[in-house]
Amino acid sequence: MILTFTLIAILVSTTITTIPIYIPILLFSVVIIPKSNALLLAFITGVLVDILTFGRIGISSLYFVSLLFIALSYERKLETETPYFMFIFCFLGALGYLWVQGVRFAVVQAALISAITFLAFLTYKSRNLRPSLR
Amino acid sequence: MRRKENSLPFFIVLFVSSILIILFGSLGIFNGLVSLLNKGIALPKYAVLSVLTPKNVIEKKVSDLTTENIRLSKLLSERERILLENKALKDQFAVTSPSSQSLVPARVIGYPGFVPGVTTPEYLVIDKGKNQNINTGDTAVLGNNLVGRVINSYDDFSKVELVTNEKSSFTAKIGGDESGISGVIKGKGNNEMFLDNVLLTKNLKKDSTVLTKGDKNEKGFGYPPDLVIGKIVSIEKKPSDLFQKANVKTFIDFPNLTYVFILK
Repeated sequence: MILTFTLIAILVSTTITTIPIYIPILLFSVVIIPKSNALLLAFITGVLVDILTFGRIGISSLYFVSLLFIALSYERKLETETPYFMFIFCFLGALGYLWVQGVRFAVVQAALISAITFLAFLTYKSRNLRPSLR
Repeated sequence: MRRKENSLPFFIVLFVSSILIILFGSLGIFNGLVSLLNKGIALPKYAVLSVLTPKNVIEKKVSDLTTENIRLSKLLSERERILLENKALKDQFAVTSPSSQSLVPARVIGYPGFVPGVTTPEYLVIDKGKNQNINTGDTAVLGNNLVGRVINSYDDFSKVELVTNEKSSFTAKIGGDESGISGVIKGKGNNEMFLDNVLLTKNLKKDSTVLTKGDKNEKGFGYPPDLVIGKIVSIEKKPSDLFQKANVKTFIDFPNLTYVFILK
């Protein structure tokens, strides 16, 4: 299911918007699926995004893999499975990515996607859904 | 509780893979894959675009693109005109006779009475006139080929009578001929001319070049000498006639003329 969501997010983000909808999904995957699968998903997502946006292949996958690894590194020190952590990490991650890509209004877009991530994670926590990587 | 796993080795592998992909990608190895994937994803992308983009946004984009297209078409047309002008100028100034210092470039802006496929041009209208020192009687050339003469000059336009016009008549000679064969070039209309009044004793040859002999009068009207009129394509010689004739074909494609030069 998370793979399906990721593919839809990639399709929408590379077609009609520059908002990186896949970043929150990758951060969700850190919580939901095994770490190695999450890193692999980040790698594949990065390659696909670069291909579909005719960017330099490998840049996005490098960024996403690094972002997820940093998020995983904070697991021991911080409570990562909270909406607040998700919000901050999503905001910083999206802002950094948009800045690297040279997209305009990066702050606005990062804030928007972070807000949506916050609400989505709140909903997930309250319903305690556990989808698996297919 | 999730089982703790060490993600560092996996991260290192993927990190290095990303770097390798960047390096190989810079060599252009993945270009084929990128094209193939994008072709495959084109339909779903279009479906997403159609569903999620508001109609007014699409309509505005179409309107913007149409406006831009019109603007670019105008620029392209202007560019083509400049290229033609440049080529005509280059061609003209590449010849040494007539002297480039005495030439005034003029753009052909009309062919009075010319209907493509039905009639042939007999006159030209050019975009230079008295304000640009173009006067009645001035000679129009292209390269060292004779086009015609200015018969009417207005402030900013002039009318040029082509050498193939039925009313056109002037003296001519055969180029490179030491015996001095000369005659009279007369326009036949329909893009044709003939060389008349050539003595029967003279030996006309097919494909000979016909040049102007020079018939300027004291007022300066007439053609200067040694301008190319055309070449002989056929000869009519009857022993019972006083003179022989030759059909002459011009080297200039009059219906597609865009620039001429006026001799001063």
